[in-house]
Amino acid sequence: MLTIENLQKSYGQCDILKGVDLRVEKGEILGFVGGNGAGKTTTLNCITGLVEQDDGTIIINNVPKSQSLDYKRQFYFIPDTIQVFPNITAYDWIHFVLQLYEETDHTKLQYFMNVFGMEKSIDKPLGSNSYGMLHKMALITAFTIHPSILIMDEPLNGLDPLAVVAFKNCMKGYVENGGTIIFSTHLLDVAEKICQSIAFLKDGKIVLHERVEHLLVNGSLEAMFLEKQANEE
Amino acid sequence: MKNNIPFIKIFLTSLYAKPKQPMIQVLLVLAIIYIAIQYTVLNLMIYFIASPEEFLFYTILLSNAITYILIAYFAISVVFSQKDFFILAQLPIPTERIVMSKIVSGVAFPIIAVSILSIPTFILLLIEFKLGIAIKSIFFMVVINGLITLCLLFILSILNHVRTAFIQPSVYLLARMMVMLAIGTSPVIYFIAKEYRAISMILEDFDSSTISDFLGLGYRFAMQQPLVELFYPWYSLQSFLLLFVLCLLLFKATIKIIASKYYEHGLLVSSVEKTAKVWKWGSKGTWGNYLQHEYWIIQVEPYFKMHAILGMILTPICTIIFLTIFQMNILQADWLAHFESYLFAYMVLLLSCTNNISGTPYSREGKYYASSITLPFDPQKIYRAKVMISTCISTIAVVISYIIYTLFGKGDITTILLLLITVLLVIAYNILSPLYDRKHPLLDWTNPSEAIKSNPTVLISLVYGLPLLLIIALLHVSLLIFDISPLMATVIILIVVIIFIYKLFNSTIMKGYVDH
Repeated sequence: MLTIENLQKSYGQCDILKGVDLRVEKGEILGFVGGNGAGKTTTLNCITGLVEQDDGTIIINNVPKSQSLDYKRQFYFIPDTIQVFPNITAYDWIHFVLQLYEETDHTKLQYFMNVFGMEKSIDKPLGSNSYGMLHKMALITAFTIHPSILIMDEPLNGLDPLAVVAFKNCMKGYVENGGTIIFSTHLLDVAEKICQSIAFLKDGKIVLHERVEHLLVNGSLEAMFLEKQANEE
Repeated sequence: MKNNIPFIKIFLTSLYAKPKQPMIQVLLVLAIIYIAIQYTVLNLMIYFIASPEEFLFYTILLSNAITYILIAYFAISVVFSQKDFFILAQLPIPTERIVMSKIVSGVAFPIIAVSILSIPTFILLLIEFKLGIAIKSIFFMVVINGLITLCLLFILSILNHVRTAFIQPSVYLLARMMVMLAIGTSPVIYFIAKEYRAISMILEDFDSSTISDFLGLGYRFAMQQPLVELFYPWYSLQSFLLLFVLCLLLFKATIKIIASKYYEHGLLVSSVEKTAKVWKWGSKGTWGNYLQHEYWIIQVEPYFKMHAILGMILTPICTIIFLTIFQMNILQADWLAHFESYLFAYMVLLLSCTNNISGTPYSREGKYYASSITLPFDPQKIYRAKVMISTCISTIAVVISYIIYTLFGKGDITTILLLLITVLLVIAYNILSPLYDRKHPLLDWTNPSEAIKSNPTVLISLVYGLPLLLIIALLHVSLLIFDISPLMATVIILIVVIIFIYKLFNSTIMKGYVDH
């Protein structure tokens, strides 16, 4: 379970986050939506430690962000652009990350490699992999580790249609086994189908946090988004 | 050329960006002021000691030397970098134009910097010579600096042309560095070799006239060289014309040579087939993971690998030079021979510390730094791993140097103690030097040289690490001056260093240590 209270972040004179409050329950898939510059990535960066917040608290499974190592073991983060050492193999990198998470069950790794069709390129240097392949590798790592929370920034970028299907199935299995997912996206139709709830971020604040079925009563998510954006302006 | 100005501006601002942190800005300004003062004092000294002709000659020589160092240190890595390939290759720009802009923007900063540093010298020239001759001399100095820069770039462009012949990119970088070093030092070696007897005679009777005699010897020697004779008198029209033609030819030729392989080399850098696999250790322990991560960071850029190799080999090379000088008694100074073991120890210490890449290990991570933050790495263990890696590099250099020292038939109990002191101080330096970089890493670099050489954090890391070495050296000298026996003085220093290391370990490395 993730709890964020009064999260604030400024860059110089520019206030990016103006007091974000969020609570994500175990087994929930939360879609983080909002316009460009709304603060989605900054919020995710604050959660993952890439950015230090000016104020506010972030707690995952009763472990506060200040308890660095224990806190980091609660989640796995897949950024928008995956940066990995180009001259090591996907296999070596995944094994390395699994060791960091103290994950010893490598049978799951084999299973997810098959699911995402990565068996052939697992022994090639990562520099020779396409963006989509790197994304698949990150997803394989994430589902093998099975952290409490999976945090993703635009997770569908670069994935081929087969990988998207595999990703959706894996997400389902992951959540059924007690995992929680938070991801940011601009693809509202995808969010509508995958997410259980949506947090709508605007000008550094969460202006709406609702279950998808409640939001869809009045039409599509896209229509709601446009209406919300227009109302706020 | 006019159309290229915005292009040059883009390169110039991205190559030599002003540091963001105020502390680094201040330190950078202080460093520049320090260099300017040193340079002016040196010129003033020559002005008062030497004749006007000698002063003019050495002013130009000093300016050439600084230009060469700055070009070799800053400009070479940016001019021959292929990092712009991904951005520019797809745009409709002729490769010659890209290369030209890179060369101009790469060398502009060092040449402007030297010209600014030379302002006090220009004033001295105006005082000493007639206005016309002084202005011509100043102009000549700037042009000859340009020629030296272009000569260096031309030679390196030929090496760059055959870079595919090198098995590893790091070997190519190492060869490039050796060529730069050879070109820079060859005139000095040539002078010493040719005038060895005369130099020995001057140094034999070391008195107040030694420096003046030495300057005179160097001047007369240089004036006899065909290349210098070609341009002399420096302010003649023929000299200027000759210089301009040479500069132009070198500039055009360098552009042609580099541009001819722009695409080939760019593709080589981005080539997926050429991406070599890097070894993964079989270790399962957490400590192994941290060292593995550091190993990968060094392996990711050939430039980092080259620096790691240099960190290991440069001190032993200097040791051989040092010992040869002492063995052959080139300096003819018996009083120096008396302190040989100490001079050797502190030379090894200083070289193995300053040549190491311990000051910017966090900046080195660059875009990969994000994974160190988001993955469950213990920051304290990352720090320990970084200290360990740099200590390993330095210690290898130190131990090899001491082995060479004993192979030269030297070494006693004091040498063993000095080895211990050196290793302990190297560890202390490597613990202290990354402390600033840990808090303020410079990560948004595109060219790896920005993470090491052009990174202003290097200056701060010296401020963190060097005072300790200086204090210990001063203490050691003081003990020897106060007639304490060499062995006893070394033992005292060893005890002081052990106590300091113990305290330092507890406050940095062992901070927050929990034995799992």
